[in-house]
Amino acid sequence: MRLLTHNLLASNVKGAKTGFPLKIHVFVQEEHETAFNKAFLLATLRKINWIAFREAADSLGVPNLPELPPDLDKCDDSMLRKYHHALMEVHVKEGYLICPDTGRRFPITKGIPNMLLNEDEVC
Amino acid sequence: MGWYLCYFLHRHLDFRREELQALADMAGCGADIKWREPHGGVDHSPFWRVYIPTEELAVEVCRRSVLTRALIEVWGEGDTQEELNAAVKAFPDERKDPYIAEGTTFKVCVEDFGKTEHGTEKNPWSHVVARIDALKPVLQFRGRARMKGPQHLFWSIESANADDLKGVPSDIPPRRYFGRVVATGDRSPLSKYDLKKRRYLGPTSMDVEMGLIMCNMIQARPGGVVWDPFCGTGSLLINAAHFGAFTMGSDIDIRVIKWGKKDKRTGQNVDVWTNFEDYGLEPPVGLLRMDLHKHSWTALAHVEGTLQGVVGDPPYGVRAGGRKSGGRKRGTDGAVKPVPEEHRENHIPSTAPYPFSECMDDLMDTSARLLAMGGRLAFFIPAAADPEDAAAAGVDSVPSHPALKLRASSVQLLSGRWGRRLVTFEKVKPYDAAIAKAARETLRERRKTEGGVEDLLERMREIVYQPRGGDGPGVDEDGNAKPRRKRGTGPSGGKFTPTPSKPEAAAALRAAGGGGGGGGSDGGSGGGEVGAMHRAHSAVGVKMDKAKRPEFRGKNT
Repeated sequence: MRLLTHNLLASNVKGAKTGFPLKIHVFVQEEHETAFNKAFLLATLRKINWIAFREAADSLGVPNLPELPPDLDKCDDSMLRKYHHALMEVHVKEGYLICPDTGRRFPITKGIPNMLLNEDEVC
Repeated sequence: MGWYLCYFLHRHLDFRREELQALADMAGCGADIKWREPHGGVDHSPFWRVYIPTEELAVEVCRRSVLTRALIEVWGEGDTQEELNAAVKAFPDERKDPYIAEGTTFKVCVEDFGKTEHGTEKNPWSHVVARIDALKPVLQFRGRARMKGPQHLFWSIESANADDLKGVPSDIPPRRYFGRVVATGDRSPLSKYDLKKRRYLGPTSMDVEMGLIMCNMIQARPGGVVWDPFCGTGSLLINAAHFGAFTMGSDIDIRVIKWGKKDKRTGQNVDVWTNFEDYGLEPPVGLLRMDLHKHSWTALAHVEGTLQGVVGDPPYGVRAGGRKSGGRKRGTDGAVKPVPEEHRENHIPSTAPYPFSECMDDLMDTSARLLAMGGRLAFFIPAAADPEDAAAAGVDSVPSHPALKLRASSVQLLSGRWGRRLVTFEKVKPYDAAIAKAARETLRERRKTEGGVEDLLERMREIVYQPRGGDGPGVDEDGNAKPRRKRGTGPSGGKFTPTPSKPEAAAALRAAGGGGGGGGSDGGSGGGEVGAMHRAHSAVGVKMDKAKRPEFRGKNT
């Protein structure tokens, strides 16, 4: 799971309010190079929830992202590549996503989060 | 200028113009596209005429088409060689000269329809030379012939006389064409992604050709994210990634996306990830075990407009029948039994059947929210072959959503009785939750009142399993057709319980082209009609016996 995906996911367990952003607990993470597509990156960075992105990057040991969404028109390529790396190149292989409201843990195995709810958790 | 002979493959007849139109839309010239009927006015002829404003755009539109052989600037055509030559002569010299002048290189190919000519053993090119010689009185190539990498490519096309055709409808009139190839389609991915060579496959993996067509319909391209909510072994994701899109896949069934299986030869564990690796494609941005009905996309606004495309083959078979969260085991007091604390971690939640109409509405609504403006959604729904059947059961109605506009709708017949329809939508309005909810309620009400049965798949089953009149079963002793079985009135009360001895099931098996064998061979909950349905579903891309697909109008090779 990459942080782009993480930015779109929420917990929908019974009792959760927004269920967003999910906290990440990592056991295994990997890095894979991904082609840098500037237009795609800029469009994506304009849309994503920056706070969730920054917190998630932090928990994966990719720190020093700015506190607030940067002015993308003023970003140079080296900054953009840093965001690209955090968003697209860091993969969570094994770990948990944790619901911020209820603490429900969604296991990530082989890079695939299991977002399915148990029978008694469906609202 | 601008009018080209659009020489299609004689396959997936209903999809050919739709595919090219989608590619033209993507190239930004969709509104300029005009079509002219083929010679003889035969709709399924492969020789359509298309108007594309410029040659550059023609190349751009055609280059990833799966069903277009070539776009050709016609220099002449006719019923006879004399007519053809007269036409070539009349074609303006200033448009011919640059391509046949000294110093150019060229190649002429014979690309006939409905017949194959070969050269002699001594001279394998003799048939090509004969075509060039026949044109000599009106056209002399002054450049040099080059077999590899010529500057200019010419096709000599003859569509055969009715007598020469083998299994192809004979109502396409014989005709001769000669012209310059401006653009060609690309079928090379078909062998590259050949399912037979793929290491990780599922029983309902989408055949490569149709998968590529679907990804053309949604205009999958670099810089866009494509989501498949029923991704299974990821076959559609591979096609989308081939076109350069980032991919995202989800499935409720963990077995297919995560577990994978062992490669028989190497003993290595293969799964969706290794498939992408094998092809050297960018791996999916995300694979998720997720339920479309109770999906986990955040309700926050920033998720809207994330996707460029959604593509899927929803489960309307029975082997891969739809499931959703919430199959709740209830205690004696009617309450959902809580999952014991010690088992929570590895608990596999039970699921409930997922009515197809509900699944369709969920797919439409979630896509409408997640797609960017102009983004596209394409998926299959079951379709009846006979328009009367379809109208009677209301299954010809396609789904709708206030934010989505229907762009294309094409049927692929899988048997004489039924097939599947690919519907393509484009997001044309921003998503509005209140409007969407109201529209969905209206749609549900309409389904109930119009067909008496809310679920489209239920109605489809009636068509598939209702034997044709006079066909033995389905006709009572007095020769009157038995009434169509209504939901809840059958022996099984509308549920999928085994009915292996039913004559209808056997008839359905025949109709579905699923091959021999009675019902009940699938064991467990399958069997009878269930078996027929799933075999028909998995017959996609499988060459079926010609006699069993009487209404298929093309050659399938």
